[in-house]
Amino acid sequence: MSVQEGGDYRPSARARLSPTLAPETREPGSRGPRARHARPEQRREPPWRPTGIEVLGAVLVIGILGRSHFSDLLSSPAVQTWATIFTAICVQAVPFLVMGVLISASIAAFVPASFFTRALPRRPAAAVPVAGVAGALLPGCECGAVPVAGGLVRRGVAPAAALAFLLSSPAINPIVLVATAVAFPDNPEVVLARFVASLGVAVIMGWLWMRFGKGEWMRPSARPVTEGMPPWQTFWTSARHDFAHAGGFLVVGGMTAATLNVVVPRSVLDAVADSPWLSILALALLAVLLAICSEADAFVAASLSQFSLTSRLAFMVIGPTVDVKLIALQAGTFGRGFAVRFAPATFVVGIVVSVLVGTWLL
Amino acid sequence: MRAEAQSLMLFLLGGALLRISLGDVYLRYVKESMQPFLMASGAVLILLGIAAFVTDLRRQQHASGLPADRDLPAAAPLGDGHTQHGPRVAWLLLLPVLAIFIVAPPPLGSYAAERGAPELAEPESSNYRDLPPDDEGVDHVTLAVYEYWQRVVWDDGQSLGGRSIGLLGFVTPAEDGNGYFVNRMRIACCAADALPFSIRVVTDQPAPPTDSWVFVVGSYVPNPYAAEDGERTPAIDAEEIIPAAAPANPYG
Repeated sequence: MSVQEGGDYRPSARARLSPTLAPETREPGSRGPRARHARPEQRREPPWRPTGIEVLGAVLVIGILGRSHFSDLLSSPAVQTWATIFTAICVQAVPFLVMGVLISASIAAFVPASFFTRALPRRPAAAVPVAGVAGALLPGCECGAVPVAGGLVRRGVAPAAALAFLLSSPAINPIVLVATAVAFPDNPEVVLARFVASLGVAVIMGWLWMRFGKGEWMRPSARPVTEGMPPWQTFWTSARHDFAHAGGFLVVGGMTAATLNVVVPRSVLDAVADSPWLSILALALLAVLLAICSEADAFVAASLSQFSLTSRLAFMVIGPTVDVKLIALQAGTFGRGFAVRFAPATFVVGIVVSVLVGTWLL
Repeated sequence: MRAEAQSLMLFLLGGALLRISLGDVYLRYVKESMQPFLMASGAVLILLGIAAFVTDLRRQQHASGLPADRDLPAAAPLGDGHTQHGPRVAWLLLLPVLAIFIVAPPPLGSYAAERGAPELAEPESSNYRDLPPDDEGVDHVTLAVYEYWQRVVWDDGQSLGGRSIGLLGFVTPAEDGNGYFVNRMRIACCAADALPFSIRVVTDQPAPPTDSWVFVVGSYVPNPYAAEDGERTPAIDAEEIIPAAAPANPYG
């Protein structure tokens, strides 16, 4: 779902909001017509600097022209094996990312935010599980769930329920479950374990917030982050932005998996993987560091064949709920106090639930 | 990164996917069943790159007074790795594009096979049916290396007795110089989770070049080199060794 969600997309609402929004959305540094007359030197052209497009073009040209040279350089078997594993994960995961991004961009562009508020029960204790299950219906990468949850809170949904949705939506939506099934064809019970564990984490965290959460911990940013664009523009822009974001982190995950497979000595991997607690902790930490989109993390988990299914379950359960990217996003949307309390709590609950579900089902 | 660069990146990635999926190159990385999805995703990404580019262009033309190239509000307090223009991490998408177009990573071969495999657990129930009849026109039956391996390791080769079996795989050398191994990598999902299955070829003939593909016709024999190879390495007593072309799908 797009980072730009948060407000209503109906034209009438936009028209009412835009006069008050316009000053805030202006670029810092521009001061309006009067400033232009007073400072004539601002009309001078800035010196030309290479931007992204030029750098990209240069890289491509060099790459294509120097192709055979690079192929020779990269001909060592270790490098080629690394490259094959890396490419395999990226290629395998991209179709799932595309599906996820298309659906979440559609939701951001065509489904009004009020839909979510109307669908949830009023009492928080009931709203938490409902919100958790609702996450199953709405594919969305992690980065999209945070602004949606912020929007829900702003619109009066109980914060506990918004949090349950925040945690479950990236983790148990249909695309993620299909991807998990594809990644573990010989172990279909992993899909069920992922569903149960992730839903459990979402509901538990929601109820914990209900019990212990204090209002001042959560301060969603005051103004909605809308652009006032027509729906199709929102769709293409959200899709582009979300895929660029998710794809970038997928590449990080692919590189890590390739490196673990090729560079790290087998003995080290085996030593970590054989110890039950160390393997779970190691993969849980890895999930936090890698920040892979939930549609793709099953493929990285599948590549870690030395590790037990339970530790790989922990990887898949923790990844969509807490990672370096999400912590930053949550801090930005809900404030630092929230992120500092929420992330470690989710991490611990995630590990405990993964161990319990893994022992039971896997 | 600027919006235009993002759109171009998506376009290139879509092109890379189409390049490998129109043909057999994709089989080096993923399973055959992924082909339609790769083609569809490639087409969608190309379309998305173009549409997003056009959308941004139109927005720039219409949004006079607002800065041209932002796709997020300038003072966005999101702090999640965005520069003013977009996620920096998106630059990494160049890597698979470059890998596919310039390096064209080959299928996994001797390096991966020799790295060894984690110990597989015996399946709880395994029932090995009788071997199928011989292939047409010849006096052997072709088995997958993985199947041969299973029948030997889990079933002591009982179902293999007395038959001539054909195995297609790539060669890795044996350290002691007596014969060599024929291997096949088996993937569950994609090349990243590939596991090697190696069969020791018992023969007097010199080893073919490493990574070359051979079709070995022979019969089951307990591994005479089990002490060096490990108890779980099956062997085949070779009668005929035929150089073969690398199959389109290297994993099986």
